[in-house]
Parts: sequence; structure tokens; C-alpha cells
Amino acid sequence: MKSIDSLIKTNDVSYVYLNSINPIKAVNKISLSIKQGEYIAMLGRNGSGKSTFARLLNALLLPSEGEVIVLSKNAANEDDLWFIRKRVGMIFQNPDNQIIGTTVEEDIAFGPENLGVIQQEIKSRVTQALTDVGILDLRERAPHMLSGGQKQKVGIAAILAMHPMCIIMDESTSMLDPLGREELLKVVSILNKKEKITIINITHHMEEATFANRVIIIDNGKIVEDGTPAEVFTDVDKITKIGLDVPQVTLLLHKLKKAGYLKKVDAITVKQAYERIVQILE
Amino acid sequence: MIKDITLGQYLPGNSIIHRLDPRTKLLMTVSFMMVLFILNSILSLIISMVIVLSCYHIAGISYKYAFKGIKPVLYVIVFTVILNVFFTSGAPLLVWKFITISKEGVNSAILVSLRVLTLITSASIMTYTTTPIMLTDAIEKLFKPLKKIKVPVHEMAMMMTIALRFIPTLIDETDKIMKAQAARGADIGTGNIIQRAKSFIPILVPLFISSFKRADDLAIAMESRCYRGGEGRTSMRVLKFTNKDLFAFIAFVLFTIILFVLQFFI
Repeated sequence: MKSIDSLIKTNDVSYVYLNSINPIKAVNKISLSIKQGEYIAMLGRNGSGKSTFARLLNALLLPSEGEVIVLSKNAANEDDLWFIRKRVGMIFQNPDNQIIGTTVEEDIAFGPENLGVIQQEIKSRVTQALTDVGILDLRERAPHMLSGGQKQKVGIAAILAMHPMCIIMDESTSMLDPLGREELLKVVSILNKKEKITIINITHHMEEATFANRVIIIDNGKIVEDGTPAEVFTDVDKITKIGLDVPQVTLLLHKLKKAGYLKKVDAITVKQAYERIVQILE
Repeated sequence: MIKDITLGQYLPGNSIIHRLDPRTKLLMTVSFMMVLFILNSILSLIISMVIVLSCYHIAGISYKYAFKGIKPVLYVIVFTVILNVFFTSGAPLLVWKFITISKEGVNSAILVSLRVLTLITSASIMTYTTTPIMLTDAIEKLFKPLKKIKVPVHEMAMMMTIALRFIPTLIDETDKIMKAQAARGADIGTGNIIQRAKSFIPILVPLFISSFKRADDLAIAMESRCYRGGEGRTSMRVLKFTNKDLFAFIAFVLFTIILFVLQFFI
């Protein structure tokens, strides 16, 4: 078991959409290794290939070229398909279109039911998942009576009940209001720290990247940046050229640097930026 | 407001009828309906009606709900009564000019109307005390043997569950689309019947398109949560026959025997 520390590994993965008139290469030879317990923010413009890439990671799509290895199992192997989907859960953009049950409880039970978990254990898993996400009081609610943020939390709980090692959020915050988004990210952060669940948050909100400990920027189906948030956001010019925004505080420091007050840009949160500015003033 | 509609007509409660296994309720309702068609004496039918109404009492459901179920078919009942009274030939009971009312006519009018009333109230009590999802479960379990002859029982039950889940969501969406089209100047619900029917096209088309999009999303979400059909699937809700169900069955059989005895010997 040489790859015990690498949860997901991709080797030169490409994906081509064939169903259009001219085939589109959405993912172009991405090689990447994701470790257990990482919190990754995956950024990119619309159509950059980040969602396609995410779908390759839990075998919803199979690569046209290259291979995806999850816990030393190849995603292209049909026998391992369910093993992989059980370990790598995914929540999607539209909170309404991923709730299958007529009540919250039933929706969360859907995953374990598919895995063939025995009845008593399903109940305890549902209770545990609801407690972990902090929505135990919503247990009996019907999905249409929930807010968007609550629905996405149900989505997270539904994956947790399957005991995953990784949760992929495919633009899951994009349809939420700021409060709902903040709460969802808080829940996910706690899961990452406490349960060591790997989080891959696909987003185009730069501010969300500050929660992560690794930022990957994808453009035209290729990885253009990969590193800690501080490393990646240092290069403000490059990121703006790709068509993305940097967090506001980083932009502020970048301007201060241009004006000659700072040697390097290394702050991504308001607190860090505050400290740097205080340093300048002193 | 449009959000508050309840699915089916379930009225929450905790009576013994609510707590019966849904399979028991479904089987008993179906067999009771068959019994009603066989019964042919007014006395037996009146007693069946009393039994059904006492079920309402036990379930703690007000009788006005029993009437609510009857309302839509009231005209049908009135119509059949008129037909039966005036057009059944037999021993004349009342003759006035060219109208003859026969004894048999009155008899069969009472029989038919009692039968229809009891049928509807008995079917309603089942839907009043069972959630749609429990009914789906019951149907899936009861029809399980049909799997052997390749009837997709699980798939049909899953489709029913998803339909139930999405009814409120789609109602919400219809509401939104109606408002959006009204904001663009669409005139909905005025004019003659053809104009009104036509005005629903701009609502139905977007609704259809978005439903297909939803179906697509939902399929992906289900797949990513390891859904692979009914094979090897377990269920959180397990239906279990208890003593209550046994008691209900015995009571049902006893009442049926009494009803038939009354019909044939009195």
C-alpha cells in the first residue's frame, strides 16, 4: 500500500465531450494527487473544465484518456465503481434537484439504503449525520419547507451517512445567500478538521478559497496554479489575466505593494491583511 | 399559500387505525370494496356504512371529512337514483299520469346510492390515515411477487416516491413561472375557454423544460449516491405486521361474516 497517503490520483486525465458537433476537450491532461484530509478550493471561470474534472473524480464520467485512481482502485473498472462513489461523495449546484426523499430523514437514508446497510444501522447513521451537520431538528421536515442553505446541509448529511472519505462540492454555494453560504462552509470546515474528511470545493467565489489549505486554479482544462492560498494569490496579475478575481484584501495589499509599501503579498484574510498594514504603519 | 397544500389527504393522528400496517389497510379496503359489491340487502349496507363511520370515530377524524369525499360524486349519485327510481320496471308503488314508480326501483336506488357512499367513505378513511409514502411502500411490498414475471415493481415505487417528492417543488415553480409570464404581460385566465387554454402554453412549456433538467440532475445525484436499482437495497422503514393488524383482520372477517349472514338469512 504505497499510496496510502494519496486518496485520489489522476494521471494525465483528459475528457472530451463528443456529443457536440465539434468535440470539446474539457479536461486536458491533468495530473494531480490529493491527500487524505486536505481542503482544496478549485477555482476557474465558467467552462474552464472544473466541474467536468470533479465528475471524473467519482466516476460519474470516465476519462477519455489517462486514469483516475481512488484509494488504489481505477475508476474505469466497473467493479470498483460503487466502492469509489461510496468514498467520494458529491453535492451539486441546485439544492432542489438532489433531494430524493419526501422527508429529510428519508433522503439521508437513501445512500445507506443503496449500500445495503441493515435497518437499525441506517437509523443510527441518519441520526449521526444530522447531528454532525447540526440539523437534527429538521429530521421530519419535507424538503420544500427548507431554505437553500438547509437543503445543502441535508445534501452534506446525506453523503456523511455513507461514511465518505472525500466530499466534492460542485458549485454548491452558488445558489445560496451569503448567510447560507457562510454556514455551509463552516460545517464543511468542521468536518474537515474533526473527521479528516477531504473537501474539494469547486467555486468561483474567491473568498471561499481562504478557507482552504490548497488552491487549484483550472483554465482551459489545465491546471494553471496549485499551491497554498497565500502562494497562489501572490501572483495577482496572473490570476486577473485568467479572468478571476482575487480576494479584496489581497487586491488591497497588491496595490500597496505596487505603491512600494510592501515587499510581497502574503495575506488572504482580513486579519492577516490588518496585521500587515499595522506593520507598515509602524 | 400554494406551498401549504398537503400531499394526498393525509390527516396526521396517532389512533390505532393510523398505526396499522399500511398493507393491512390497503388489503382490507380492497376486500371491503369487493364485499360491498356482493352485498345486496339494504340492512347489510346500512350496517357497513355504520362500520365505516365508526372507523372515522376511532381514527378521530371528523365526519365532515367523510362528507368531503362524497361531495364530488353527489351529482352522480342523484343521477343514478333518478334513473333507478323512474326506469326500473316492477310492481307499481305510485302511479301519476305517465310516471310510474316501482317498488323495485326505489329498492335498487337505495342500494346503489348506499353502496357508492360506503365505497367512497371507506376508501377515504384509508387515505386520511395513511401517508402517501406508506401507501407506496405497501404497494411495493404487496406486489413484490410480480417481480418474478419481470414487472418492475421497485422502479414503479421509486417513480411514485419521486413524483410525491416533486409535486410541491413543481407547484412552486408553476407559481414562479406564472408570475414571470404575468410580469411580461401574459394574460392568464381571462377570455373564453379556448383563449384560457391557450394562455397556459407559455406556462407549460418552461415547466416541461425545467422538469427535464431536474430529472437529469436528479439522475446524476442518485447515481453519485450509489443508486443501482432495487437489487441489494435495504430500507430504513420496515413494515411489520403486529398484533394490531391481526386484531384488525379478525374484526374485519367477523364483520364480513355478520354482513353476509344478515343478507342471506334475514
